[in-house]
Amino acid sequence: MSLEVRNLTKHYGDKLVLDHLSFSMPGPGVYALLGTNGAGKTTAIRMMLGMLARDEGEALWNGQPLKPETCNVGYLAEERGLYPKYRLLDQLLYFAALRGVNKTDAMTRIRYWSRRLETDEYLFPTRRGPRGSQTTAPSLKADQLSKGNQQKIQLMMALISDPELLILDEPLSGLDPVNTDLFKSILREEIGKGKYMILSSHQMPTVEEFCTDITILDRSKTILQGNLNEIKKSYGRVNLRLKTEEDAEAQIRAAGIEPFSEKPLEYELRVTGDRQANELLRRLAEAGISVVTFDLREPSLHEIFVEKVGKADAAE
Amino acid sequence: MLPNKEEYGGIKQVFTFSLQQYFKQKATFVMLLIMLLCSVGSVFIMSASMKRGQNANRDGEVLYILNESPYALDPAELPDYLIPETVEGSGEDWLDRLNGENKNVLLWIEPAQEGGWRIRACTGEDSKVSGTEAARIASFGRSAFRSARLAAAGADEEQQAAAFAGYSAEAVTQKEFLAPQDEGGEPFDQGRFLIGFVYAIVAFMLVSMSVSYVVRAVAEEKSSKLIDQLMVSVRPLALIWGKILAAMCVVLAGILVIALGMAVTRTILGVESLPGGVSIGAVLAGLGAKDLLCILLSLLLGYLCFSLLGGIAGSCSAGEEGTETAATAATLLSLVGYLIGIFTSFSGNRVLQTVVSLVPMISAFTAPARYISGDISFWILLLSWVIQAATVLLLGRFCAAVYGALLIHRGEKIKLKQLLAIFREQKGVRA
Repeated sequence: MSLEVRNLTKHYGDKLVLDHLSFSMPGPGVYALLGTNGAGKTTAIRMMLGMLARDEGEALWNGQPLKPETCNVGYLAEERGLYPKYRLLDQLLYFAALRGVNKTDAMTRIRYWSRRLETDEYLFPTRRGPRGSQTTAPSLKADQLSKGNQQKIQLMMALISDPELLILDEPLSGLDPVNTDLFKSILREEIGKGKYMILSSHQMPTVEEFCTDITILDRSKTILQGNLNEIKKSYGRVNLRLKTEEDAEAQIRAAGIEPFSEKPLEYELRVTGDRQANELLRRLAEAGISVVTFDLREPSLHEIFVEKVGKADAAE
Repeated sequence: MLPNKEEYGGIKQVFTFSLQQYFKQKATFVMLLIMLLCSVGSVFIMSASMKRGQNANRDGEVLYILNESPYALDPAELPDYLIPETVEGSGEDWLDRLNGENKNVLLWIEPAQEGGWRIRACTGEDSKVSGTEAARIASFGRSAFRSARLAAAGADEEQQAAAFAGYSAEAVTQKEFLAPQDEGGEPFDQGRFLIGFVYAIVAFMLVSMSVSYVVRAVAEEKSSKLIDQLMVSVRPLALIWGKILAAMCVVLAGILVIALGMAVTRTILGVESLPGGVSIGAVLAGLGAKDLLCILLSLLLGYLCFSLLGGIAGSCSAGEEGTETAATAATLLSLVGYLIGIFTSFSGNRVLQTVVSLVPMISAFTAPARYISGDISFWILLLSWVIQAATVLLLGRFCAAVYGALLIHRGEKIKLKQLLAIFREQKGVRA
């Protein structure tokens, strides 16, 4: 199986909102679609899924146009909601029916995901009978749930058809740390099953944690694309975190580096590469300064993103 | 023009879910209960008002007849619910007496000062007899007096009928004169008016309720913010058709409840005729299976047209706060059709009736009633259906092009110009 997106382009009137976006996923994995607000990520996803007409381009799944009939897609949209006055179980069964899942299988899956996402008390609540026995009550209505719990139900809707391709638009936004970890564990479970996943998020650490390939969009254009590790390698190890027991500012300056410190004796430094870092380490040793931390690393995705978008904006 | 099969995938699931949710809502049952109560209540009111009209003075009330003319009135021509009592004496004295008898009426025929005769139905100051009822009695008196005069002149019933036969006067051109008979007008007919009137009411009820349901369903869809997730599995056209059909079932259930409520109450109360004396049995017996089929098909096409309009209007609205405006716009359009349906029932002009039977949207309110009344031929009705069906397909195509884009749309309400731009854009490259 493979996903291929070719030259997706969209205008709203005279305004270009997506400019020839192309990427591919030849095998299972997680692909990140990143970008500033309004860069065109959601438009790209909607066009891929056939919700918006395309001015140009195509999205192919196994060489066939990507549509509900050719690909089992699960989608968690950025704009989230549920029918507020309808019961949760009805809504989940409705989504399952739309995806062609029969009621028995749907119930089995709902029970599984309900346990995993800890929503049994909303989907299968119990009440005490007149003689103290427990009986099952109807599931709650959506407006009786907190936002975080509604988000769990929406994730269940995306997963209920056991999709081959899972598209998650800001899946972790608005979640507390406990539920963030819960969602992450489910993402890992799905990745482990060999799913194709497209992740759109502003949470760069999460993208770094899960994604192998990325596209960064800015104002409709692709400004960076490729394998995340290779992109990072191309930048080299240029970030140095230094912690010493004595003041090292003079040695840092002597090595040709601009010192930056937010806390006493702790420095976040930008070096040109390994050679300059080694030069600094030598000077520190010669000066008899005790080094507590000397961490030379590649730039984070956050830094790459900010730098790339900043450059693109400056060039405009 | 017809959308492909994939566009309709999921329509059954949308329909089933929407219908289930309608019947799980208390509001639906409250609405059906209100409809039932209204239908039962309306028959009660109709029955009571007819009894009041017919039997206002039945409790031993008397129609005093003070006839100063030489013509003897036939009591059979006077209201049968009054006890006629021929009296003599002064009219003023009888009027004084009526002040103490608040249910009795004096029919006073006296010579007029300017010559001829003056006929009055008089009631006392505190009379419980309404002015309308008194006028009705006076009218009976006038008719009986006219017959009595002709009888006195030696005219038998046949001659009287000939003397009172209706006639009309009109100005015509040579072309109009030479035109076939059925191109001309016909005098007003109560039964024909009634069919048009009742059909227009039913059509208006069906359409206005449906439009309101569909607009609300679409607005709910927009405000739920689920649309992106839904559209992965179902196309916009299937989504709106599923909702339209579910709303249709709810509205039909409402109309069925009304019809059943009225029929049962009518049977229990023994109401045999409508106000104006038109027999319900005669009207229903006059409608054959073919007529009913014509009515149902026209209602269905009209319903679909207006529901699609409601769907577009709902998706043009800027969230739930714009729902009322959207529903009002679509309901106003149906109101225009309803009023035209009523007014053409009065008209005897067949050209006008043919035109309003062919104009899409309006024809839903007029065509079958005009066909049943014999104002238009079956071929005109058939042409009207073809035009309506084409309108449904066109609106469906329009919906297919703009509905998805409008559902995703947030912000200000869409104007017609923008709507057409979206249509052109979506019509281009489809996914």
